Amino acid sequence: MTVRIATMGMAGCSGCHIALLDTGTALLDLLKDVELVYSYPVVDTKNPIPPNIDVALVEGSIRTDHDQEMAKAMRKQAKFLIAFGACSAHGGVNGLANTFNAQEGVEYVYHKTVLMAQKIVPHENVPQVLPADLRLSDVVKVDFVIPGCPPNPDEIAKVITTLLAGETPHLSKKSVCDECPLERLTEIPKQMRRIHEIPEPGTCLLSQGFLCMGPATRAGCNAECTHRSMPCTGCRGPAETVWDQGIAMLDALAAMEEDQVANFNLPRLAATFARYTYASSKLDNLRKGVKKK
Amino acid sequence: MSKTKTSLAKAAAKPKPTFQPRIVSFCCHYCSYGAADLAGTSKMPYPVNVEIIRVPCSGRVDPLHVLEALREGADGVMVTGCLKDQCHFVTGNYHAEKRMQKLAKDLEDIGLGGRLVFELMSAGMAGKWVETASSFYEHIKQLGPNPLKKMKPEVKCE
Amino acid sequence: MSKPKHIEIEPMTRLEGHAKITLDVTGGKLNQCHFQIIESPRMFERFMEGIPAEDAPQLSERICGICSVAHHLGSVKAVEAAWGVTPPKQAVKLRHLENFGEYIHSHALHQVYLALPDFLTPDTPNVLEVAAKNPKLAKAGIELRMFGQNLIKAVGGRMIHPCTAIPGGMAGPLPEEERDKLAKRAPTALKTAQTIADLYFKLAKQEAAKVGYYLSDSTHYFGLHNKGVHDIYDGTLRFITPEGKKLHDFAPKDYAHYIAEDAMPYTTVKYPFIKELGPEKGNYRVGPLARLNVAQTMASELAQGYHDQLYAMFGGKPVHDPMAYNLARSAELVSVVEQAITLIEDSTLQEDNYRIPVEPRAGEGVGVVEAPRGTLFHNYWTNEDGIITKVNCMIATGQNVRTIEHAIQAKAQELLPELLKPAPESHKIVATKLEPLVRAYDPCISCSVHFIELIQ
Repeated sequence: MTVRIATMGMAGCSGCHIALLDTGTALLDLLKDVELVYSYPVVDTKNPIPPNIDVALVEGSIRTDHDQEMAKAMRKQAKFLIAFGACSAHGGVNGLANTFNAQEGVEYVYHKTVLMAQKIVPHENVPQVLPADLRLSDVVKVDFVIPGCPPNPDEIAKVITTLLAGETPHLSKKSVCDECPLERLTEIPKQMRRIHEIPEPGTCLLSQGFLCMGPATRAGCNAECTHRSMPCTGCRGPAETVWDQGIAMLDALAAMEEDQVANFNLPRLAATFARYTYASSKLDNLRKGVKKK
Repeated sequence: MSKTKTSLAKAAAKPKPTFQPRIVSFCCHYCSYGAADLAGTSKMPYPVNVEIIRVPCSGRVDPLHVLEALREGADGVMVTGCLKDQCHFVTGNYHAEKRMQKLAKDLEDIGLGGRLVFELMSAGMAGKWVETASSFYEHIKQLGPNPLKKMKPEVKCE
Repeated sequence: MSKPKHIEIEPMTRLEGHAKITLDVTGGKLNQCHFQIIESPRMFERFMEGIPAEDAPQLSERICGICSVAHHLGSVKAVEAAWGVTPPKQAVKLRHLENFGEYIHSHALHQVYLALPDFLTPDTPNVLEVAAKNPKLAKAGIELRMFGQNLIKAVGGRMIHPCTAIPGGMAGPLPEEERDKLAKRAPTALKTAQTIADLYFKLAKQEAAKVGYYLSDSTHYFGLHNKGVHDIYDGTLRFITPEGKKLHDFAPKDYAHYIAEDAMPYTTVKYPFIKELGPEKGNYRVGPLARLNVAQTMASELAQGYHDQLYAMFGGKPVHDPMAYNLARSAELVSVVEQAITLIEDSTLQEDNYRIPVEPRAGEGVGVVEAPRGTLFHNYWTNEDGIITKVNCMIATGQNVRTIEHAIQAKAQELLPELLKPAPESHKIVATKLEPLVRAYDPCISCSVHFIELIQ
């Protein structure tokens, strides 16, 4: 019996699908004994989603009623459902839209800013925007998460081969600091610096005052960004023992002497500390509870 | 008067059940817990619905503790610590103050403003403890119940 | 009187993004056919307000996972324009190289994984079948695309959503060992690019590539050029008429004077047009065919050969046939590999001057780049702290949507009896007879639902 695999994308950028293709020629071997039954960039299967799917990789967050329907439909047909990539796992950058009212946002985009005589918000047979951006696990039960924006192709390949071998895949429990080549210092930065300033090469960016999300972020990317002297922006979501990526990092920085963070408003705070995880943060969780539906 | 109008008038005339705020107070062991304890042994009255959680230092209080308290249904959260240069762990209260100030602002931005207060006191300042707890209690009574209370524990957005 | 039938076939496959075809039929007659884009609006332009502008390149690039480099570079150019920064020459060279890497990956993705199955394995159109039928070609195509991804990673730090473009230049140089690896693989990459181009031209001559099969709207064309030479990074913007005459040449910062937009009730994308000519007459196209129509010559020798072959096949410029996009794209694929090799072999590429210090300030800036699918604009306004106060993006694919829809409507009318058959036959007809038209434009639909207004 060949294993039946499906992929799907919701509100996202398709980067996770490209990351899957970035497994390169290994992909052909990976899919050798597998039937790709539904995967819109690769095969022509149309809706409805075929039944009896063994493993489904779902990319993208849930932003419209159509996304929500498709998420539920895939859960119904798939035995093992994987939240594939930051948007699916944690809401992704799409979650930053939760810092403002969704209806206002849609009107701003189609109504207040259109140059035409007709100010139309698309409404005929198009999906309706939900009040908030949601991650996959907000709507259906998820069996596994492959984090990252996008995920590391090697990790994707490893997860799939582990599953095909009938075993449970695992993610690294460590933080990005563990994979970072920069020299660790014990200093606490006095002041937070912005990334247009030029850092000293070779030493920890956080200790130099650049906001590097490394300590709060899950390892598994080989610290690609810090290898190029750019601070980690936290795209792989929280490390194993971190219970809220943004708040944990914010809390850690309370030790700084000069606290410019106090002046950050919610949008800037979200974009700085919870860029990929705001929709799954405790702060946004509470906000959803407060706002009227 | 129609039947509906009569019953509506009757319902309006009934006294509404009074809102009894539930307050959670994180008190540091070395100072503010002592103050609360002293208030108790001195038989100084303070609202019974203020529930105390003792922590080694106000700096131990993670913003997540405050958020979880609110999520679990607390109407207000107090975080209390030692006076400015008297923290047993030297800088704990200093960091706590910055954290809590920032958190209070974020709570305002998401619609839970006014439900977090941060105060400093020494172990002997029982009066300060009572004043803080009582005035915060009244403040929350005016503000109303935690709007999250209406939701089930795992908050979902439909 | 027969009941009206409403048919929806979704999703469109072997392209990027979410789209569907809807048909309204009564008594065997097609009343309405829509090419509907149903991509969820993510509202980048709203949530980017209030962030430090230097964070924009790494945030806005998440608009797309295929052309993230285009957004990354367009974004950093917009910030530099707003802050009055001129990046050093080394940084510009590195950005050109990164851009070439993206075209190599993106064009190979389209030419090999998405479109080729229609022409090589039409009964089972997918890349896995192509790999089964012609493993050598498939493997070479995949490796060509990975050469592009590795080039992006070498310059940009990551294959998808790179992290090194920063106002003031690039965060680091091209590491020496990466450059050596790329130099070794480059000759094979060039050979593969030519093999793919030759194959597409061969298929076009045999009519397997569906040249002449779809409606050929005569539209205006739009793209960058550098003194008449095909350029995908910088230069002058040009509109040409359907007859091939130059209509306007202008600088990126003036785009809003020439372009306006239309919204439709049934689709989440917006339709730009040339302001002075109105929505119908002012319709225009972007992307590989548009760029080749607009330019006079290619920037490299072998690509010039394919360029000449294309125009010889159709009898001159401009060419309107949508399937010619695949041929133009093949020429571009060869061009970017050639130009990447030139830069990789450039002895001054490892020099030290890749970044300068900058001061954030209040300003407005437009950054333009040619994404693989067409012209991309990022327009930012910043306050005195260099924080973004307003964002405007105009994205490639939307500029082709009106033309795509006309052609789909015409073809759907022709194919109506077959489209009325039940699934899976109707699905197959849509996928193999209607969708190749859409695929020829290599649409990037996730991107296109992000652009908002054009300022007055």
